[in-house]
Parts: sequence; C-alpha cells; structure tokens
Amino acid sequence: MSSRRSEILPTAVLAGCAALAVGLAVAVVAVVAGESIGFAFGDHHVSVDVWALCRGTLTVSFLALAVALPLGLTMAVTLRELASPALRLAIRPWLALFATMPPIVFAYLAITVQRGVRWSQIPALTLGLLLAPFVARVFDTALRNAPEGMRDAALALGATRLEAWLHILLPASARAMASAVLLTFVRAIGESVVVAVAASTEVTTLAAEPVRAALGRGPPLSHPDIFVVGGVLVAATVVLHRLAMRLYPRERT
Amino acid sequence: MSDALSSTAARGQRRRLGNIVLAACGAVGGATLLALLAVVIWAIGQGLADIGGTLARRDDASDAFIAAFTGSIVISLVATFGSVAIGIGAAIYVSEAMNRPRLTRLIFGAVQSWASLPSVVFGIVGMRLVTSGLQQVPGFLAATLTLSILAIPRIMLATRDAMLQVPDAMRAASYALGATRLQTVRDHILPLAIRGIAGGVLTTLARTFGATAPLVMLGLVMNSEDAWPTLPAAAMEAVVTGGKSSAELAGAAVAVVVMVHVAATLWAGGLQRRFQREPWA
Repeated sequence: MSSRRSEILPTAVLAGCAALAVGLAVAVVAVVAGESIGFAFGDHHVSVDVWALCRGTLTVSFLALAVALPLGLTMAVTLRELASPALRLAIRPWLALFATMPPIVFAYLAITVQRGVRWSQIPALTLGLLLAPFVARVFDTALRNAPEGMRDAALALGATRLEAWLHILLPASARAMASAVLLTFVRAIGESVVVAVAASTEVTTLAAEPVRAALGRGPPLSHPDIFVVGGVLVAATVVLHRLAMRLYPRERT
Repeated sequence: MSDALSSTAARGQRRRLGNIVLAACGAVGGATLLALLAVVIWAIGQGLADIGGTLARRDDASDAFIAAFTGSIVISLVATFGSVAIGIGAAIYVSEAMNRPRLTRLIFGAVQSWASLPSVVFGIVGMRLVTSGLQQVPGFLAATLTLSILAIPRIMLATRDAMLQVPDAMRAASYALGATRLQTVRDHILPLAIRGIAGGVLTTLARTFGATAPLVMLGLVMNSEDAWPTLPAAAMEAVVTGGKSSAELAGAAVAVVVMVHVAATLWAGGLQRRFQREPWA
C-alpha cells in the first residue's frame, strides 16, 4: 500500500517503537544468555549446583501441578457445565482476578500456614493453589473452541453429560488442553517468591534460589551463579512456551 | 454404547453416575473458588488491621510503610505509562501498518515468549543494567526500567488482542474508501479498540504494582540509600526479618497490593466486557 507523504513521519515513529520493542526483547535474551554462557564456560567459579536446582524445580512443579490441574479442571467443568449463564458471567472476572493475583499474596499465605503446620511442602501446595485459577482459565478457553454441535448431537443420541465430556469435549480439545498443561508448567517453574519463603532450604527451585539469596535466607549466590541460573531458566521457559504455542490450535486470524 | 442404550435401566444408572461425578466436580470446583475468594478476603481483612496498627505506630515501621507505598505508586505508574506509548505504537506498527504477515507472526511469537519469562529474570536483567555502567544507576531509574521491560510485552499483546477484535470488514471498508493504513488505524480501529487497550493497560499496572521478584533482585546490587522502597519488596523483607512490627508491615503491604490488584482487575474486566458487548463484536 502506497503511503502518503504526510504519513512518513508518523510511520517512522511507529516503526521506531516497534524497533525499540524488538530490540529490547533481543537484548533481554542476549544479556541473560550471553552472561550465563560467559560465566559458565569462562574461568569464573560457579558454585551453584544447577543440577540439584533443576531436580528441586521438577519436584516442586510436579507437586504444584498435581494440586493445580485437578482443581483447575473441576473449576472449568463447574463453569462450563454446571453454572448458569448469568453465574458464569459473574464468575469469569473473578477467575481472571485470581489467575493474575500477585504471587506475594500466596507467599504471605504460605508463611502464615507454615507457622502452624511444619511441613516442608507447604510452599509447593500453595503454588498449586496459585496456579489453579490459571489452569481453570486456560482450560475454559480451550473448551470454548470445542464443537458445541457435536456435544449436542451426543446428548441427543442418549449420551449422558459426563459421557459427552469424556467422549466429545475432552478429546476434541485435547491439543489445547495439552498446551494448557505446558503453559501451567512454564508458570510453575518460573514462580519464585512463593517457593523462596519455604521454611526448609531443601525445598528450592531455579527461580526461587536467586530471590532467596537476595533476601538473605539461603546460601549466598555470586553474580556468575545468578546469571547461570537465569540462563537455564530463560532457556527452559522459552523452549517450553514455544512448544505450548505450537501445540495450541491455530487461531483463526 | 448401543447395547447399553437399549436398556432404560442401564441408561438411568449411567445418568446417575454421571450426575454424581459432575456434582463432585462442582463441589470441588466451587470450594476452590470460595477458597480463593477467602484468601483475598483474609489478606485484605487481616491487612486492614495491620495498616491501622502500622500507621498508629509513628516509628520506623510506619515511615517505611508510607515510603514503600509512595515508592510503589510512583514506580508502577511511571513504568506502566512510560511503556504505554512504546507498547501501543509497536503493536500498531507490527500488527496493522507493516503488511508483512509472516514477520508480524514471528514478532508477536517472540513477544509472547518475552511476556512468559519468569519475573525473576527481569530482576536479573535489571541487575545487569545497574552494574553495567561505571556509576551506580539511580534506584528510581533502575526500578522503573526493570518494570518497563516487564510491562511492554504485556501492553503490546493487549493492544494486539483488542485490535484483533475489530472485524476485518471495518478495515476492508476503510481501505475501499481510499484510506491509508494509518488513517484506518487512527479513525476506525483505535476508537473501537480503545476500551480493550485501556483494560490491558490497567491489568499491566496491577502487575507492575505487585511485581516482587524483580525488585527484590534489584535490592541485591543497590546501595540501601539509593534504592527506592516498594510495598512488595518491603513485605518480603519484613517477612524475613520477623518480629511484631515487621509482621504488621508485611500484612499491611500485602493488603494494599491485593486491594490495588482487585480494583484494577475488576475495572479492567468491566471495560473489556463492555467492549465485547459492542454491536459489531
């Protein structure tokens, strides 16, 4: 499309914004990747045990997912199958509110619970509660793309509502659901403050360890340590997130 | 399934079983929703008393609370509204003005990955920013820049989503009448998408107000005189310190963060719902 002469300046300004944003995105990744590769393979001493942190991350996120996925699925079922349209309309904004809640609230909750209940996995369970509304929201979106007509047909042929779920809705949205699970996993490994307040220093993750060090609650980390941990975190997040996006059915745009 | 269908009794049994399972789902799901609501109410309710207690103290703790409150408000406002122009401008250019669909998809894919990065990563980038120069970067600048790196991709995605909701017929009609891409955006797309964009900006504001990990990480490299106190960072530090005045400070800070989040998110939800109810949507 040919642009008019008077539009050259505004177009240039907009293009500048875009260039700045893309440049920032590249810079964020370049800074973390560059530094961590430099530190990991340079002659700096990296004292942090990345492998142990990865194992901790997997343990905590699997526990959190074990809590979040069933709770989130039941909330999605409640919303889609059991709530009246008016109730659904009333619940959705609150679900969005819970799903984007600042993690510090749950960190505070975890600390308060830990005062009473001395169990080292309390932060992981709290993380599960934090993730549950997020799961419900992405499942809700995934189910919205499932074919309503096929479900109605199944009901008309005598399937019960549960059977319509098991045989129509869930299989039809399987890819989107898998993508949703991956997205939740990405959020679980990235959540830091909830795990950083864990009473036991045994329970820790890649994301939580730098925050814990900054708070003076755990083993101190040098700058090389922090950047190596950050590099692993960025790599894992970007790869899993791209995979989740690839799994997600193409939007009709 | 066809064998079972022939028997009315078996069908009734299946229906009962299905209803029991669905009812159990509803019970668990409803209980979870209520539990989450209870967390919000507990954080606010408990915190309101703590706010009163902290302010009544008139000592270091109350000063720290007021300083952190002001710091949080100024930093999140500057970081969010500083990113609005860049974020919206970039989203307009990439999704409407560029006319190169593959590049558009590539860029927004990267922006999505950027927005999905763990928040602690932004803190690490901020640390690099602070320690890069010969001189210490002022605390206010470090905090707002760090939070803008977190805000820009969110604003870009919100703007794109709002503009995608405007039907293509609008664009087609505008181009058919001879309008350029920029005129189409300015006169037709932006006016229709503005509520959705405003909602996205509000949720981003809530996000920067509650951002904890990046600011805690910045504390690692800042001198304590240079650093601007913020509510989330103050809450985390108070929690670690322990003691009565610290516990009160933490409760008060968390309560303010929750209240800001609830207000901003519900307001944004209202904006976006009205936006979706427009006749053309």
